[in-house]
Amino acid sequence: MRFLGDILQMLFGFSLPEQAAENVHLVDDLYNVIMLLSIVGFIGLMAVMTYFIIRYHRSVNNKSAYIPHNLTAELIWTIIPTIIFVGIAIWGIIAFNKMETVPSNAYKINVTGKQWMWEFTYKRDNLEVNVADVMYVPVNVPVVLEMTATDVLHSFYVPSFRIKRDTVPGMKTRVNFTATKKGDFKIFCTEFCGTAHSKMRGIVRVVSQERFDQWLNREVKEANISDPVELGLRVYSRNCATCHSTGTNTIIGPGLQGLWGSERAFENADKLVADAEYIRESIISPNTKIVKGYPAKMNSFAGLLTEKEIDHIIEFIKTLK
Amino acid sequence: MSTASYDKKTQAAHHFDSLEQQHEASKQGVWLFMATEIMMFGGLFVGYFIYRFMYHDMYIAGGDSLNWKLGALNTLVLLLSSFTMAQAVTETMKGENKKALKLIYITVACAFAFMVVKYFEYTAKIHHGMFPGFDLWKPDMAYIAEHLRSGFSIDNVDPANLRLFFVLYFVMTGLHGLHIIIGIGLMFWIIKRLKNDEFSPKYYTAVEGVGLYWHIVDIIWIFLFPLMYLI
Amino acid sequence: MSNTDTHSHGGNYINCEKGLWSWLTTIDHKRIALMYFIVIMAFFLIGGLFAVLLRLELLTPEPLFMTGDAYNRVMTLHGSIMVFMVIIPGVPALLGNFALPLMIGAKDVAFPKLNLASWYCLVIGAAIAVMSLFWGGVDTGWTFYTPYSGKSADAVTFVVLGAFVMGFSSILTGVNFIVTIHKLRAPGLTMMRLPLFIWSLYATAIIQVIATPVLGITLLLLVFERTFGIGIFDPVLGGDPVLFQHFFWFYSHPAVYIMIIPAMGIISEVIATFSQKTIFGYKAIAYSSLAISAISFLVWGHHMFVSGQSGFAGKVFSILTMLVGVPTAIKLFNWVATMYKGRVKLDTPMLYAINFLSLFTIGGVTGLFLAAFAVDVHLHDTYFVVAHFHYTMLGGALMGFFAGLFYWFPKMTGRYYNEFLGRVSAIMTFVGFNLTFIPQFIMGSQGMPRRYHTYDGVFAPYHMASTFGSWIVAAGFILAIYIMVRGMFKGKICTEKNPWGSTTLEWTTDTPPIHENFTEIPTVTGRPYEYR
Repeated sequence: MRFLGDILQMLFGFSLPEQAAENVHLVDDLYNVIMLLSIVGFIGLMAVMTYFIIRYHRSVNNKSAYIPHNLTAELIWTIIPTIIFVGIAIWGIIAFNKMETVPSNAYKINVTGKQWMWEFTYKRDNLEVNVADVMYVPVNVPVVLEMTATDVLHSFYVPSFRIKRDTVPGMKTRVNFTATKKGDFKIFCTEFCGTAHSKMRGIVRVVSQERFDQWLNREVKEANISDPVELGLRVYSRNCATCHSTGTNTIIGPGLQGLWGSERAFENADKLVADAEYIRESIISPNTKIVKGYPAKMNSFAGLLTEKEIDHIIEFIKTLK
Repeated sequence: MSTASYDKKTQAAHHFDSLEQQHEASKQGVWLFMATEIMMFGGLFVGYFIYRFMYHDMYIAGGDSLNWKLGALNTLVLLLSSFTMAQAVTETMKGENKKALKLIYITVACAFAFMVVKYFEYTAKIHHGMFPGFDLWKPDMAYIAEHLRSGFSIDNVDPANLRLFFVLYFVMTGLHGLHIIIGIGLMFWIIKRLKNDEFSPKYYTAVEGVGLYWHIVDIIWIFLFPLMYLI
Repeated sequence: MSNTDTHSHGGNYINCEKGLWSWLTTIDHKRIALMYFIVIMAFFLIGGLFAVLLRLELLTPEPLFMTGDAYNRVMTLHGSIMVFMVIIPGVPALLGNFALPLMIGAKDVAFPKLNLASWYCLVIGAAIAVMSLFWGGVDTGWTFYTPYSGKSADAVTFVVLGAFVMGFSSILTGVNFIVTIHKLRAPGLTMMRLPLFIWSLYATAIIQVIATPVLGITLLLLVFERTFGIGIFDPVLGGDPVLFQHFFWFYSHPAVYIMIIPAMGIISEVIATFSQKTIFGYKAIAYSSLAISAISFLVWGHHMFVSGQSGFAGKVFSILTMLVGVPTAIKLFNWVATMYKGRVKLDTPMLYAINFLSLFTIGGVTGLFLAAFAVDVHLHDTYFVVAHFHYTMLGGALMGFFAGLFYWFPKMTGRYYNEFLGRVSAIMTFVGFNLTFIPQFIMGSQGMPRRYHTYDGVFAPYHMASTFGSWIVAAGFILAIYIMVRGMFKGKICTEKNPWGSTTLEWTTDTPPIHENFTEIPTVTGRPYEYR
């Protein structure tokens, strides 16, 4: 059986990503079998059709036969496809069940999709560590991802692990995997979510258990930093960086360099000098004052950032001269 | 090519064999269109049941805050109008066009009465802050608590999810009300044609068609009333 | 007693009355069909232009000449135009309207004025939708998923309202066709003697009537969501975004069968005629059309396997989806079997039919991948899906549509099109189409997500090949339309009643038919396709 699977993988595996997780075979084996059946069926049908077209072309055939039906043929080509199709469906269901079974000792990571980035939350004792874009996981350890989104639908997809699930605001979804290879594996957002949908990428970084522990320890320590500017930088990286640069260039929104204390002109309000109150308002209610020349695209972060976090961002922005 | 002029009361259109065939075809057409109306409202009923299942307490609270007496009055008014409409069709079949005309006037009056009651219901709801849109959502929770039946506590009622009851209430009854208004328009059309002496015992298809439309609108209300007001 | 027609039978339905107004107020199903031809072909060219622009932008991994927003809008409009303004009306509104009364021996459809209203619904709805371009466009994708579509700053309401109005076009056509088939069949024409194209229109009309209203209410709720802020799909206000997907796909899955079943009906007609042989398995094809129509309502959840829908629901939908493949496979076998011991001729309609057979088979088997639950987890929302639905909708429905257009062309216009160029267009579209979409299967399984403006460089070769292919496909279809338009005005005159040697009733009328279709309603004494 495995031998057969390997042969098919040799033939068709080029169309699949690398196999970097335990459950990948569940998908790939079925995929390869369907591929084999499809190619055989297609070539078979086309060969027969081509033969008929040539053999029974009007220039070589004077009289057509009268064959309105043939019970045997019709029964065969009804029953056999039904068995094959239902067989594939059942196999797919069994495979899915296995993919969905979460091992009891699985390590939990929370995933949040937001326009337009991925945020990963690790818990250690009572502490929470939030990181953006790169998800460290230890190799050969079952991992379960509990996922949600904060604004619109996104979908968390790691092709090399064959996992995918929509992240839905207001709801929790879940996937699990056990990575079998070390390395970086791409994360794509695969549910259309607006302007920067194609840029909403990430990486699953699979490392050894030691390296993972090292990394997590360092993150926990950094989470205990109390310097407000440093904290502000972290909040900025996780929430603002996708759209606002720390320079003067525009990614989607205005660059933040020189913002503090400068005069701002707006599409729908009088101009003012940017102060703490303005920055707070533009985070909570961004469309109240839309900067001249920019579209109204920013989501409100009300409820997503604490007062303290906004304080830290303000401190951070003050340093961008 | 535009239709050649012909006497509609005694002749079928050129592609039909007979007035009977034309009449049956028209009735089938109206029934099929009614199937589409049922499918459209059906989607809303499915939404109602799903949210009711998800937010049971909210639906109880919302339903209790509606004025079931006005709802019942509207139900009776519509039932009466369906009766008069059906009678109007019968009278047209018999050639008694004057009687039919009177019956349709009564039907129209009932339809107007229905809309007036609706107006009062809606304005009352908006006054209590229960319109779920345009930033008007400021539900008077005391009012809700007052009308909540015994055995349920107002503490279990989350205004955000209560809003979903009123979303479906306004969308479903609003769409239904729109169909009542369309029905009034159709009846004015029939009234005009009746006065013009366009119908005969052999040709009364439009009256029957509008009658059927009106019955479907009535039936939808018959389902809406208990689901919204009573349970 | 039917009324006596007082119009002069000056010539045929095209020249019996002159002037733009006579066309815009016509209730002749044949004239309405020609009016559909003009608008549908125009929309096809516009939607196709957007496709070519998209593929041009995707030539390189980094942006070429579009911003992210511009790309998303072009992507959305390409889908919306092709779905609502081309493929759904396509065969029923254009070819169905022309051929149905002729094929059943009737003088018109049951409700001619309603028929004209359907045309206006399509045109007005399309105008409303296209107006969105002037307000910045729409960027949600043609599927309008919430919460994004409820919040997007773009002109979503226009497109959605436009689709709502266009829905009425579909519904009214469906009502019209069902009653026409029930009531206006010629004497002796029992249901089991109906041509298979009519069976396909019947099965399709059922879907049009039952499914479209659900889309109507879904779109209306989305409009309310945006205009009144009601929150039915917004989780912040207590709503459920996945509910939108259930409502949307409850219509949109049956909708894809509105697209394919009539095209399949055309294939039956074309293969029988161009094999000069009776169709194999008439009853099986007729019943499988109804079966596909019925089962199509039960499978919508296969678009939502990874949406957060319950695993149990997913399993049920997976099995049911596989079942809908069975009647489809039966038809494919029956069509090929029809050619066995026939007298095959590869004229343009037949070449397009062969395009259908090969390309739709690929579309069908790739559907197996997507219906298999575990495999779909990997393939959902990747280019594999994009390729799958283009193979079925373009390789299937559109090829069938063009087969029908070339097939009935002489009857509709009283002229011949250029046969050589017709064959060239069939081959060009076949080659170009495969070059465009085979690479998409491969990169999809390799993980290339759909609706992406910029992409990972590793997929670049596939995108490049796909873009080159798009130019060939575009050229092929432009050629096809050119041949038809030129043929209408400059083609060789055809007065032959039955140039292809077919057996169905429309080929007994004048070419082109008179306004009344038949001077005397024929009596039918046997089945169609009786080549003995």
